[in-house]
Amino acid sequence: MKTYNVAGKVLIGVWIAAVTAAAFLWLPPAQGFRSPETARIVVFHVPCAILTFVAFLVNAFYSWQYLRSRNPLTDSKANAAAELGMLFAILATATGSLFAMEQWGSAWNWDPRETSIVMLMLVYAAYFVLRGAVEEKSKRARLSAAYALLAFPAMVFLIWILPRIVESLHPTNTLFTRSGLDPTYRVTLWSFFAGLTAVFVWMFRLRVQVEQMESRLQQHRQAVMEPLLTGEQG
Amino acid sequence: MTPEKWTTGSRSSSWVYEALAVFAKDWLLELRTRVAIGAVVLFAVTSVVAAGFALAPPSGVAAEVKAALLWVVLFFAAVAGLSRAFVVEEETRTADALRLTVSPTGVLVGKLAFNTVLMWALCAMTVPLYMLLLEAPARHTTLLLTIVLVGSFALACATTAVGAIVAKASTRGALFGVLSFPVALPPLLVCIHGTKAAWLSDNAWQAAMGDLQVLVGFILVIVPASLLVFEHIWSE
Amino acid sequence: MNPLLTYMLVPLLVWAGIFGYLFWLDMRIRALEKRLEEEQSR
Repeated sequence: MKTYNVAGKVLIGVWIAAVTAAAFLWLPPAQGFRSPETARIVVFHVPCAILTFVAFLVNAFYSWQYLRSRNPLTDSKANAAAELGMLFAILATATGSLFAMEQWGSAWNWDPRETSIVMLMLVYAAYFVLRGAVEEKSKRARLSAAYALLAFPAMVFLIWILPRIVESLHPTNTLFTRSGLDPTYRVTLWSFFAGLTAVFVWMFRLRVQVEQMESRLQQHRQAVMEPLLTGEQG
Repeated sequence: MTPEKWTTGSRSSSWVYEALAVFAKDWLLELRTRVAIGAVVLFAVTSVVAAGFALAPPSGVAAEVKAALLWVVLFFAAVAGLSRAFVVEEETRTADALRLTVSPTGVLVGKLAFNTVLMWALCAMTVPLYMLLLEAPARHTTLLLTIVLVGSFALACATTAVGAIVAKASTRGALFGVLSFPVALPPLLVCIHGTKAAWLSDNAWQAAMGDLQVLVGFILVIVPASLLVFEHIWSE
Repeated sequence: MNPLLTYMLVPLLVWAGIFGYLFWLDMRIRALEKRLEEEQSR
């Protein structure tokens, strides 16, 4: 079991490195873009964007689970998902901004997709602010879960329904529908996505483990201290 | 809905009366103290006057900017006043009494009704003043009225449950702005777009029909979500 | 040197750092878990 886990992690490391190298060495420059060489960044940008929304879904799921079961583990998972979601949102925004700078001349254009990623980051930020404002553990878990479940439908509206109503100028719509992409780009992109998902799962489990460890340590300490304290009073 | 609510049959319809009672109590209190109305109106009037002063002469400013600015003013005025609905219960320590006597649904709907009327009062005072001082085009006024009414209701829906969360988290109002903005943003964007259409386009009703549909859809999604979640916010 | 190689080195180095950190974290957690088990069984 032990060696399998280590091998799995090493495989992830090698995989990501290999796909990154391939994106620069094997992949041809993208046709139809203003700066074909730098368009490679789309291979990194799209998986990050997809994963940040997946993280949001995971957070909503575990928030809902927490409200049903009041199991602190589900709260840890919701929190971990939110942290990772924020990380990938930042990465997606950064890579997307670089792409926009190279291809369309300006780093930010306020079209629906760009706006929705900013809104997602605002939701994550609000989530963390709320968690920071409540000290007591179960209250914190309950309130942040409630907020996540309110923000979720709001974001669904923002991301899926709004762009259909408001005219979208986002040229990269073709990228998302993947109709205009070269097959080599498709392979590289999805390979990176697979590797990044593995990284996501790994980081998620680590984060949850850290929190579980901390609470177990705290419980252990209390269990050790208690007989000492009551002993003193006796 | 929990099984208990189904067995105690009379409760499933009594939430309407409970909501009305909560609404009436809140407004009675409000009319006596005028805290929320005061905060909201003061903020709105100040912002409108400041905007009018800064942008004078208003004819030079694009209508898109005026549309966006109107809703920014309305949103921040709402933030100034809508958090009161739940905070006041915590402040006056009546929250527990309310918890014991009224069902969570009744409380939420009552507070939502209170916030909605507050929003409408805000709009009634702000929108005409804004349009006057900033010389907004007086076109398609019925469409504008519809957007303002439905949009402000959507804003109230978006922010009421959040207000409940914030009231439980802390009594400081700063949290409310931060938390409500992401949830209120979808209706806000749609309202700005619709107002823009009402002022600028010739085919305004057609252009804004999508916006009105999104607003109604949003309300239909957020209110049940708020109801489902509110039980967990309100009681342990 | 091919400029693409230099462009490629940046994300690769970043990834090397991140991966190394995650790997180290993973090992540390396992070690801590083991220690906690030992302490509890004592």
